[in-house]
Amino acid sequence: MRNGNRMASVVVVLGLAGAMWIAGASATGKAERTESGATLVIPADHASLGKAYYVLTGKDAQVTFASDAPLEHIKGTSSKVVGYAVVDNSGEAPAIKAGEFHLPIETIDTGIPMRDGHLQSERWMNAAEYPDVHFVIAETRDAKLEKETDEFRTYSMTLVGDMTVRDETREMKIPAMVTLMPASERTKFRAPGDLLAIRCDFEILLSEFKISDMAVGLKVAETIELETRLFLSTVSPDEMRKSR
Amino acid sequence: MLRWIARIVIVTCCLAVMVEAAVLWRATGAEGYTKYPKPAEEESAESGSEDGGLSDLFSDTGLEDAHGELEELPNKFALGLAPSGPDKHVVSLLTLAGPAGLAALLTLVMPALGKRGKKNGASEE
Repeated sequence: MRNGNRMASVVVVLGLAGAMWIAGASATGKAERTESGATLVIPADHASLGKAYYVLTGKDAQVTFASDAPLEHIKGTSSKVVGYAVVDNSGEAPAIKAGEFHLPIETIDTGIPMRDGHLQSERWMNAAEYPDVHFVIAETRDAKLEKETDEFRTYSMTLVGDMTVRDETREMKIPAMVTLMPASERTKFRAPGDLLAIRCDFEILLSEFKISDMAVGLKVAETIELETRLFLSTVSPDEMRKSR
Repeated sequence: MLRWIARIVIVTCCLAVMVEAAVLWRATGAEGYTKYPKPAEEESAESGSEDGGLSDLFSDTGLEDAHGELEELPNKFALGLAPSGPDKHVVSLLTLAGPAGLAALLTLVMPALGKRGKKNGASEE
């Protein structure tokens, strides 16, 4: 009996440790890419929270950044963000219960190949060691319906999560507009599945992420402005590729 | 006389190159560094999607109301003030107008330097 109780205790402790490890891995992000690399594998504990939407890469630019420094004005863009968002529609307003987005540094295009190389270098983003910037959504707050028709609903809300640049992680609260558009005759010829769009602007202070260089303040702004627009679908990019 | 005409022609041509380079720089956006457009095939291949963008599908949903439309960076050639690389990116206002300006300057200055040299030589004799 005593041995049985001891065994049960060990199992419980191991189980808790395992759950904590899984939760920790989810909370700190870095979901793995699928085999094709077209999207991320959604952890089981996230998938169970609601309806999963996958980021679609495409012709539209997804992230645009601007650095406005006294000696140089730099703009860059990427359309290769991958990720997912899990939405719970059961409440009065939808809530993004979990999400993770990866922006590969090597996909950022400033229009000048040499500058792109500098951006990826160890001096700046160190893409060799930290290939992605990633944002993990923990929750959404203050969701408010802004516009609604039979075909869509648009909400304003605040995305709360952890932004990781290189090896520094900071919590960020990002005001966003989110549109949910169920599949319809209008959408099915453009993209399969229910659609979700996220639009937000935010700023990153380089010093907060321990990025410092003598060029900061002169050729690179201390604060980088980012504009983001992501389109997501309940049909993952991998499924879309299979159906083509 | 002929030498004088030749100098005028050379300086005029050099000034023309400098002015045209400056006009091209302004006309292509007055960028700091030279940029070349990404070929359409490369762009669509990179996009990983055969479909066009989805932005027009959401154009009347209010998605852009709070933050405005996402800025699209132009994918076109721009002559820069300075070169941005050792390959075709070396073409710039500086590398076009610079040599022309130097040639014009030398054309104007060298004869005067030559005359001074002769005067010094004559006075020493």
